[in-house]
Parts: sequence; C-alpha cells; structure tokens
Amino acid sequence: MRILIVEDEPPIADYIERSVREILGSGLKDATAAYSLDDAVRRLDQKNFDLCLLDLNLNGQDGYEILAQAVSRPFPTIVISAHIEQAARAFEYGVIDFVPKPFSRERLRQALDRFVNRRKSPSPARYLTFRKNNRNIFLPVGEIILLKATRYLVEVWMRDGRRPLIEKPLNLLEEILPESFARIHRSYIANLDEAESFRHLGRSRYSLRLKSGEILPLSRHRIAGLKRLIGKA
Amino acid sequence: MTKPLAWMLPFFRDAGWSMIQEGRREMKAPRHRAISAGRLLGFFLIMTVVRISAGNPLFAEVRPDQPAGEDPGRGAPPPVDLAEWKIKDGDDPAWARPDFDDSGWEKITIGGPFKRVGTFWLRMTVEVGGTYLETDPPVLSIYNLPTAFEVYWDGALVGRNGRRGSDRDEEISGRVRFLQILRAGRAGPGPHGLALRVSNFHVSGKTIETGIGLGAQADLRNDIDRLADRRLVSMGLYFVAALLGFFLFIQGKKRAALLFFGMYAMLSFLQSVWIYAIEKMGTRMISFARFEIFVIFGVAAAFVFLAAFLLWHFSVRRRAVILFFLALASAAGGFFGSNPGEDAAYTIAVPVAFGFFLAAVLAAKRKRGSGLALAGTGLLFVSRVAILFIPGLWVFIESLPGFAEMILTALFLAMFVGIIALSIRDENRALEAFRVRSQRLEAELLKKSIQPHFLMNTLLSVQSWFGRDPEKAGRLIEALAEEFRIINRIVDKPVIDLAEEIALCRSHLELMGYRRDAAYRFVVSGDASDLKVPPMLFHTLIENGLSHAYAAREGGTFTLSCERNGETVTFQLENDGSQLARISEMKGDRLEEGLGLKYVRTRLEESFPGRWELEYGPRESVWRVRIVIRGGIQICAS
Repeated sequence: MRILIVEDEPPIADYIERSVREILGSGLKDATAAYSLDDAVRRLDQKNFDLCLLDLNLNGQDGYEILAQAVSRPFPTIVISAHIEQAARAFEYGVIDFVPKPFSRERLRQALDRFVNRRKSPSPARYLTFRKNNRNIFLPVGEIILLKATRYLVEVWMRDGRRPLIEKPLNLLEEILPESFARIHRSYIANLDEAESFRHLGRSRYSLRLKSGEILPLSRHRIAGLKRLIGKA
Repeated sequence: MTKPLAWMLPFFRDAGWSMIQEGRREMKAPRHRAISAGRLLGFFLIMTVVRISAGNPLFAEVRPDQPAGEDPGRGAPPPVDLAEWKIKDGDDPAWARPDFDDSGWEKITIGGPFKRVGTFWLRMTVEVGGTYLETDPPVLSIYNLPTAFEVYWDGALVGRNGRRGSDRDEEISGRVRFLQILRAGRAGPGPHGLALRVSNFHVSGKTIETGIGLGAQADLRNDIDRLADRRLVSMGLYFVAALLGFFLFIQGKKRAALLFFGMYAMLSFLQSVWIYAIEKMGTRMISFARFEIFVIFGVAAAFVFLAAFLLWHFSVRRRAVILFFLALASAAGGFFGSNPGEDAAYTIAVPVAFGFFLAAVLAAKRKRGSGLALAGTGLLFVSRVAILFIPGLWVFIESLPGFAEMILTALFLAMFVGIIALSIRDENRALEAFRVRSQRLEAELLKKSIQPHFLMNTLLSVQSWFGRDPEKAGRLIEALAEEFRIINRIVDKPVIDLAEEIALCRSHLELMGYRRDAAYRFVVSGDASDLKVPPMLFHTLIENGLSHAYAAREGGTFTLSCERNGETVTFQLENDGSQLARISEMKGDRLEEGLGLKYVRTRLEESFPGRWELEYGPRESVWRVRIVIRGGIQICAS
C-alpha cells in the first residue's frame, strides 16, 4: 500500500508515518510526506498512491480547496485534522473517514481498517468532485442517475443530461455514495431512486429500466441484494 | 379706537406683551405663546371695543356674535378698557370731584408705555353699561402706574396704592398690580367720575406699559389668578428643564450646548417667577422699574441662548461668529429703539426667527434631531414672531382653550429635551457598541490564542517528540505553558508593555520552532521598554509570517524595530522566508486580508483612534509590516 501524508508540520507528519507503519506493518509499501499542497501535487505526479491522509489546514491555505483537490483524485482520502468542525463537510465531499487530532493509534487503525476492508464510510458523500480547467466542480449526489465505468474514468450521468467524467474508481464510489446507489453491474452504479422496473429477460439475463428510459444490464450475482433494495423502493 | 385691554393683559405673559403703539393706534399683536380663557375673553372684549369704535380694518372680518366667556345670565357689564384720560400736573383736592370742569386739561391715552414724573392728576368719566351684583362687584384694575396714587370714585376716596408724597423721601411705592373692589351700589348704570391722584418721584425711565380698566370681579380677578397659576406651571417646567441642562452639562462632557439650553430654561423660569411675583406677591413698582430692563434683555437673551443651543448642538460651522452677530442684532433693537417695551418684541423676534431658519436648514440636511428642532422652533416662531405680522393667527391662537398654553409649553420643551435625549441615546449606544467591541476583542483574543486546533496540533507535536526526542517534547511543553501564562496576564488589558508582548512573541516562536522542526530567531532593536501596545499585536503578525513565509523545516528570523521621532512611533516587523516569493506573485484579490490583520487593525483603532497607519508588503527579500502611531503612544496606556 502506498500512502501520501499531507501535513505541514514535519514532527506530526513523522508521527503519522510512524503510526501507519506500525499499524500496517509489511502491508505498507511506501509512505510519503508532503508539507504543502504544491508539494503534494508534485508527489502525485511522480507516483500513484492508494490512500491519502490529509490535514485540512496547511499553513493558512484554504482547507476546502485542499479537500476538493484531494477528493477529486482516484484514491480515497482520510482527513486527519484538529478542525473537527470541518468533519461534516469533509464527509459531504466524500472522504472515507475523519480522524480528529490528536489521535490515538487505535483511532488511526480504525480508519485504515475501513479503507482496507472496503467498508462504507460512516457518512455518505453529498457531492462528487472533479477538476476541470484547474477548477473544482461539484456534482450533487442527489442529481446523479447513473455512474458508468469507461476504460479509465467514470462517466457520471446527471439528471440534467450532463455526462461529466471523474477519476474515481467505482469501487471507491460505492463506499462513499449513499445507500440508494447500488452496484448493479461491473460497470454500473445506479441510483435506485431513479429505477422504474426490473425485468427478467430469460435465462440468466436481467435488466433494470430507469425512469429516464435507459435500460441497463444487471449482473446475475448482484440480483439477490438488488431485489431487496428495489422491493424496498 | 382700537385698544387691547392693557390692564388685563398687562405685562408680557411668558415674555410676550401685547400692546398698542402709542400714537400709531394700531394693534401690535403680542408674541405670547400663552393662550388662556382670560385672553380669549380679553380678545373679544377688544373686538367689542373695535365694533363700538366703528372698527379697524385690520379686524373687520372678525365679528363674533357673542363675546365669549361672558355669562349671558349673569348680566354683569363687560370689562372695559379705561384709556382716554385728562391729565394735569399739580395737586388740588377739588380735582377729585366728578363735576369739576377739566375741559382745559391735556388729553392722554393710557394703554402703553407711560411716564410722567412729579405730582399730577388723571381724570375721566366712566360710562357703566349695566348693573353689577353685590356678589360680583366691579373691580378697578390699575396696572403699573408709577409710583403711588389715590383713587377717587365719584369724588370719594376709595383706594390707595402706596403712599403719595411730594418728594422722593415722602413717597412710598405702590404695587405693580393694583386691584380696587368697588361696591356694586356705587357703580350703577350711567356716568361716574374717576380721578387718580398720582405722585411719581421714583420711576424716571420709561416703563413697559400701563393699563387701567374696570370689570366684574369674576372676570378680572379670576383671570389674573389663572394667569398667575399658569406661570406657576411654567415655572416648574422651565426649572426642571434648566436643572436638566445644567446637570447634564456638569456631569457629562461639559457640552456648551447643554449649558446654553440650561441658560435658556433658567431665564425663562426667572421670567415666569417675575410675572408671578407681580401678580401674586405684590411686587412694588419701584422694584419693577429697577429690573425691567434686565427682564427685557433677559427674555431676549433666553432666545439667543436657545439659538446658541441649536448652533452648538448641531455643531454648526462658525457658530461663535454667528452667535456674536445674533446677540448683537437682538440687542440692537433694545438699545437703539425708542422704547424698551416695544422693541423687546423685535429683540425676541430676531433670535427666534433665526432659530427657526437654522432648524429648517438643519432639517434640509437631515441632521439627526433636526426634525424636533424644526417643530420646536416652528412652534416658537408662530407664537412669537408670525403673530406680530398676522393678526388672524393671533385671533386663532387666542381662541384656543386655556390649558393649551401649558400643553404647548410642555410640548415645546419636550421637543428640545427630546433633541438632547436623542443625542444622549446616541452617545450611550456608541458607548455600548464600544464596550461590546472591546469585549468581543477580548473574546477574540482568547479564542485566537487557545484555538482548539492550535492546542491539538501542539499536543500532537508533543506526542511525536516524545517518541523521538523526549527532551524536546519537554521544552515544547514549557514553551506552551509560558505562552499561556503570558496570555492569561494580558487577555483583559487594552494595552500591555511592549516587553511583555516581546516575551510572548519569543515563546510563541520557540513553540512553533518545535512544531515545525525549525529554528526561528527574534531580533528586537531600538529602545522601546516604556512603550505600550495592544496585546498580541506582533504575536498576530508573527503568526501570519510563520503561516506563509516558510517551507517545512525551514528556519527564519523575525526583526522588530522601534523608532521614535517626537510623538511619532514607528514599528517595523520584518521576516524572511523562501515562500515569500510566491506571495509576492499573488495579485490583489488573491492576497486577501485575513482575520489576523483585521484583529490588528481593530486593536490599533481601539487604542489609537484615527492616528495609526498600517502598511505591509514585500521589500527585497523580506516581508515588512510597518505600524506608525502618531501623537504619543503612552497616552493611551491608561
């Protein structure tokens, strides 16, 4: 596992690194500390990371700018910050956990565990964030009908017809999106609030029809869970 | 022949005195703001006289069908003004006889300013128009006929005012207001001879006015009582207003406006006392004559003070010059006029008209409280000045009910007190806002210094150092403790010793050094040991510098210099740092002022209002913040 630690105070960055190393042991392939946002962006260009541990206040830089930058990346983010008042917002933007400073090793372990075992984040995201022309664009989760994986990116089908592309993998999106979003297929996450009907096409083929008229393939092995969800809806 | 009942509305009521101009025989309306049933009665009596004497075009349109105040069932003859007299110097007991032939005597009209020195007799024939009742006998009222006299009715001596004499020593002054009740039986319908045997060796100057009349007791006495009673009410109102003005002046910021208002109210109070004394306390003519000039100018001065109040309260430019010329113009009428009594009307008119004009200008500029000023001076203008020129207005005001005077006086004073109250409220609000701001600053400072994230990050640093270098962790804790000890000492102080501020900055830099794993130096130059500054002034600026100027693990130097040039102190705080270049590249909108700088500005304004400057920016390789404080820095220490 490769972890990027974004933290402006070197002793704290050291401490986080030591803690992570201790918790993950041999599972940690690499931990890199970045002391500023620019530094972090530079590191991201150099190599790929699996997880970002982020401090929201880097030397007076705007915490939300940093957050938006982080959550638009293809890997998940765990915020480690003394600004607990920013926790709610951080979750809205799709972080998988928020660890208040100062933290115990146990708490950090819990957060890493959440990442390792792919558990749903405690509070679902309300926005998906992506970068376009160096600006952060926020997509309200309630406006999303469908997420479709393309070769490298994910296409987000918005109710208003927009189809922006984001960098986050479906696996991660599944974790941070609310309950109503379900993985119906290897390549799709659908907003079941937008589902209209559910059809068995014979043999082992199933499809889901959305209110917008789209007909989507349904994976056989996901049917069981979905039936329950759709039945509820 | 028109003539107001001079004996009834004798002297100025509440500063106004209505009168006839000798020789011109034309009504000069008084500028009384007093309105009373008695006046009303007086007015209709005048109207009656106007009608009888074929009228004056001025009042031609006013013809009341029935004199008000007269009880038709009572049947007492209406009061009459006794104005047309014969006069002769000398003294002869025979002149008292009604049948004495005085056809060769000089004619004189009494009902305005009057003066005759020496010994003389006044004679006239009174035509009684009806029958008086024993229960409501006729009363002869003689107002301000100096200095002592005897009254003969149909040849018989019926009354005496003072003691007549043949020289100054023998003569004893009578009272200003003289009322002589006649037996109803002696004043039956028809002509009666009235003679006044007068001596005057005391009053040599002109007097304000003299008036003689005859009327039923119920009409006269009650009216005089009411006049006096209303003066009593005015006395109370003016006295309280004067106390208010003086007390506010003394206990407050010694505002001249309040003193002027107090002077106005006090002079008005004295004037009411004066009238009350004449009507109810038997003031002697000799005293009256001695003081009347002061009364005249006192009344005018009252209104000059009122104008001064407006000038100062609204901080009009060149108010001292304006006031000087106003006082001069007001006094000019009194000094150069031929008659103090009459000219006093115009002496008052000048400041009153000016006050009204001033209030109108201020109201046009929408100054706070100017609406009240306009209403108050407007009321005054109408009742004191406009009434001089618009007889119809006088008629209207006279027709208002009796208690209106009190209400108007109270209303008028309330408007001016309202102006004062408004400014006191504004002041209190400003003070309150200042207090709230100070408290907020204190709270802000506390919050700033013990922000959870500051504390939490520091604790986490301690945690980190414990693992790697426990000694450093200990020193970090010490620096944190020291910083908090200092903050605890300074938190509620508006200003602190610069030395204390420097100590705070040092411990903060030490603490931040451990947190950033870098070494920061703090260099102070210039002698500044006795200077005081708002708490956390430089601490805040250093925090800013630490946030923006340095990369991770990069050390740096902060330099504080203090320079004194007379009353001007210049502080300069500079710091280096590799990240400064980045900040310098940012353009205006990106370089937004943070909370720290806002705190610094607020604190400077609080301690050195309007005499500080703050500028900052990159200078070669350093970031420089300059604070200039003019006019002495120690003054604000208290």
